[in-house]
Amino acid sequence: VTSVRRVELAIVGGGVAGTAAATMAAELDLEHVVLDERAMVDPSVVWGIWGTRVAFVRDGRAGSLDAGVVILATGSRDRSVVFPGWTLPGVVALSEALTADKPPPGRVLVVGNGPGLVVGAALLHARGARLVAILEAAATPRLTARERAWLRRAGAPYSTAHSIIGATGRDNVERVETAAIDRDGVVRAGSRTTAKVDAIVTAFGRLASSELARLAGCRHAWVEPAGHVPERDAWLRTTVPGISVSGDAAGPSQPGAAVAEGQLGAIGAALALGRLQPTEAERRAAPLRRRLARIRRVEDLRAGAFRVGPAFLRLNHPDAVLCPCEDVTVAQVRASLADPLAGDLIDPNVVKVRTRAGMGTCQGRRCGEHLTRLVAEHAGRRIEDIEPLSVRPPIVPIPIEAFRP
Amino acid sequence: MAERLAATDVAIVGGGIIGCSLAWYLAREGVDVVLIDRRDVNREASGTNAGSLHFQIWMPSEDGEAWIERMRPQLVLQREAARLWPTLEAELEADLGFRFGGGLMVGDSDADRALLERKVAAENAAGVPTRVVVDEELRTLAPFLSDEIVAASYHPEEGHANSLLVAPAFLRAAIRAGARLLTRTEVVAIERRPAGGFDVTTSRGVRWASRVVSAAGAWSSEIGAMVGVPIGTAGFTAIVSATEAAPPVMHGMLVQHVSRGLTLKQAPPGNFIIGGGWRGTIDETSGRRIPTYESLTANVAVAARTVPVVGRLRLLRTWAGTGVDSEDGMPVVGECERVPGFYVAEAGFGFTLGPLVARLLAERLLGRETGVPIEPFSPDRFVAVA
Repeated sequence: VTSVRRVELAIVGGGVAGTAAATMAAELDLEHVVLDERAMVDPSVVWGIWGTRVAFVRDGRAGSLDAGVVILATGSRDRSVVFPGWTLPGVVALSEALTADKPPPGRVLVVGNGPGLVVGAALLHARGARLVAILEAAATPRLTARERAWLRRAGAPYSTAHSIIGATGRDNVERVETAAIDRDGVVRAGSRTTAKVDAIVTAFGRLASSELARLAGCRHAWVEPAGHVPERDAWLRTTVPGISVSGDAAGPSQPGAAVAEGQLGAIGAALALGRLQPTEAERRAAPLRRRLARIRRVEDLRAGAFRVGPAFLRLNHPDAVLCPCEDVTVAQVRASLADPLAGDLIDPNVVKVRTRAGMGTCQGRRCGEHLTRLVAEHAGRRIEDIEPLSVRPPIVPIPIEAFRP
Repeated sequence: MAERLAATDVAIVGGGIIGCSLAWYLAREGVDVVLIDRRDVNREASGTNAGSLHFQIWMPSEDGEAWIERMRPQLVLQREAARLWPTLEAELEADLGFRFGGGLMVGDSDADRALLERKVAAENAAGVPTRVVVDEELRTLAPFLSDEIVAASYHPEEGHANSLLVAPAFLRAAIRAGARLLTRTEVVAIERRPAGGFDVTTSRGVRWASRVVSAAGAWSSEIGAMVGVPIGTAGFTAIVSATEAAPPVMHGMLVQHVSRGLTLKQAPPGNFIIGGGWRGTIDETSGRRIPTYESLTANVAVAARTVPVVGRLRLLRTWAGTGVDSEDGMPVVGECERVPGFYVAEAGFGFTLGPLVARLLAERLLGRETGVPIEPFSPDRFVAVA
C-alpha cells in the first residue's frame, strides 16, 4: 500500500467536467491531480473516499491521496429499464452501443424517453446502424429544429407515446413486443404488436453516478429523472467539508453545463484553499452561473414535455429479471415484500439482503432504482421518501492483490 | 394519549438473532409473545456479522493468554452451541446456509503455536474437542493455507451459516407458532406496575406485558436504563468484506488466525467472507457506521496472506456492522434481581451463542431447569460493580 500523498485539489473523473476543472485549476495555479481509469498518465481506479482522502488503485497497487479539496466529477450512466428480455444479448444501452467497436447489427430498434433518444438515434445512424423504428414514450415531446433534422436523416419512423413491452430470443434478441402507452404510462389495450429485430438500443435517459459522493456521506435527494443528486451550495460544495461535485454526477445535463460546473468547482476550490480572493472568485464565477442558469431554464422547460406518468416505470412483468448480477426476478422481490417479516417495510436494503438483489458485481447500479421503486410502491410512498440502497466500498470491484503489503 | 394495545405475556425488545430465537422457543410452547424492533429485524449485529460459528475460543489479536482465562467459564456454552446448531435447519424447516466443514485457528510463529496449545488445553478441559494439528495433517486438512502457517487448532464441527437467513428463519417459525411482530416500533419507556407486570410504552402505544426481555444488543444498556438496571454491554463497529465468487476451495471450513485478526470462509455461492473483528467507525457527518481505510485494507491483506487464493480475487464490498461486547466478554442472561420480571439476553458472540442463550432463557421463563446453569452469566454481576 503506497504512502499517503497530499495535494491541494484532487479531481475524480477525467470526463468533460473533470477536464474543465483541471484546466481551470491549472489557470489558477492550483496543485492538482486528475484521477481517472482511462487517463493517459497514471490511470487510477478510485474505489473509496474517507473525508477528503481518496483511495485508488494505480499500477496494481492500492494508494490514497489526502486533498485539500476533492471535486467529484464522476459523470452519469444509462438508466436501465426492466422488461422481460432486457438482459438478452443484443439488447444494449445507448452509450454501450455508441462506444462498441461496431454499430449494432441488422434491424435495430431504438426505444427510450427524452431528448437523448433522438441524438442517440442520429449517432447510431451515422455509425452505420440500420434503424427500423424509434420509439419515444412521451406523447408530445418538444424537439428542436436540429433534432427534427437529425430524425429525418436517421430514416426510421419516430413513434411517440410508444414503448417496449418485452423482447425474446434464444441466443440473441429475435423479436420485440411494443405498444402504445397513454400519458400515465399505461399500455393501451389492443395496441401490442411484435416485430423481428436483431438489436434493441435503450435510451431511457441517464442517472447521476453519485456513488462516491454518497459513500463520502454527502447528503443526497432523489430527483426525477436524474436519480440521487447531492445537495450543493453556490460553489457546488456538498454537505461534507472539502467535497464538491461538478457535472453530470450532480444531475445529467449537456456538455456545456458540465464545462461550466467543472470551472466553477475549481474556482470554489481555489477560494476554499485561500488561493483566490472572494471578489475575484465571484467575478470569475458570475458568467458561469449565468450560463448554467440559462441551460437549466431551457432544460426544465423541455423536461415537462418528455414526462410520462408513473405507470411507465412500474414493473408489471413478474418474470422480468430485476438484478442480472444475482439473477433475481421482479416476482422474487415482490414475494419478499409480501413476507410477513416485511411488516411495514420501507427500506430497500432489507429487500437486498433477503433476495440478494443488488449484491452482485455491479453493486446495484442497474437494479437499485427499480428495487427502490418496488419498495416505494409497496410502502405507498414516493421514491423520494425511501431510504436509498447503501453504497459500500469499494464502489467498483478491486483486485485484492493490490492490498498486499 | 398513547393508545392501549393488547396485553401480552412476554414482550421481547430487539429483533436480532436472540430476540427472534427466543420468540420461537417461547411461541412453540404456547407462550403469548410480542417481538418489538425499532427498525426492521436482523439489521444490526445479527445480520451484519460474518456468519462464523465459533465453537473454539475466538482470539483477539492481543493479550491472547489473558483472554483464554477470561473465556473459560463460557466454554460450556460453546460446547452446547456446537450441539444445537446442526439441528436448527430441520427444526425451523429452513435453509440457513450451513456448512460444517470443521474449523482451523492457524498461527505462523512459535509464539502462535504456544498460544494455540494453551488454548486447546483450556478447551479440552471444558469438553470442547479441539486439538493442535501441524505438518502433513494440517496440509491435508487445508491445502489452501499459505506456507507460512505452521500450526492450527482444529475443531471438527466448526463451520458457518448465513447470518442473513438465521434470525428471519427463527422469526418466521415463531410467527407460524403465533408470535406477534412489531417493526419500526421504538420502545421509549418500561414501567413496572404495582399490581405486577410492566407498561411498555412504544412509538405505537402502550402495551402491558407480564414479563419483558431485553434482547437489544448494542442498545441493551438503554433498555436496562429504563428500569434502572445496568446491563454492562456496549456496541462497537466491526467490518466484514466479501470477495467475488470463486470455485470451491474451503468446502465449509472456517479459518481463523490466532493473532492477526481473521475469520475466513467461503459462502455457498463461492464468495469468500472476510472478518476478524477489525473496527470501523461512525461517520461524523452522516452518523452511519463505516469501515476505516486502514481496517479495510489490513483485514483483506491478512486474508490474502493466510489463504493466497483470496489474493487472486476481487473485493466486492466491505460493510460495517454493529458488534456487541459485555464488560467481561461473557454472555449476559437471566432475570434482574432488582426488577423481577425483567430479563436480559445478550452474548458477546451473539451469533454463535445467540440461539443457545435464547433457549436457556426460554427454559427459565417456562419455569424449567436450564440445560446449562445460567447463573454465572447473570446480569446482576454488573450491579455489584455499578
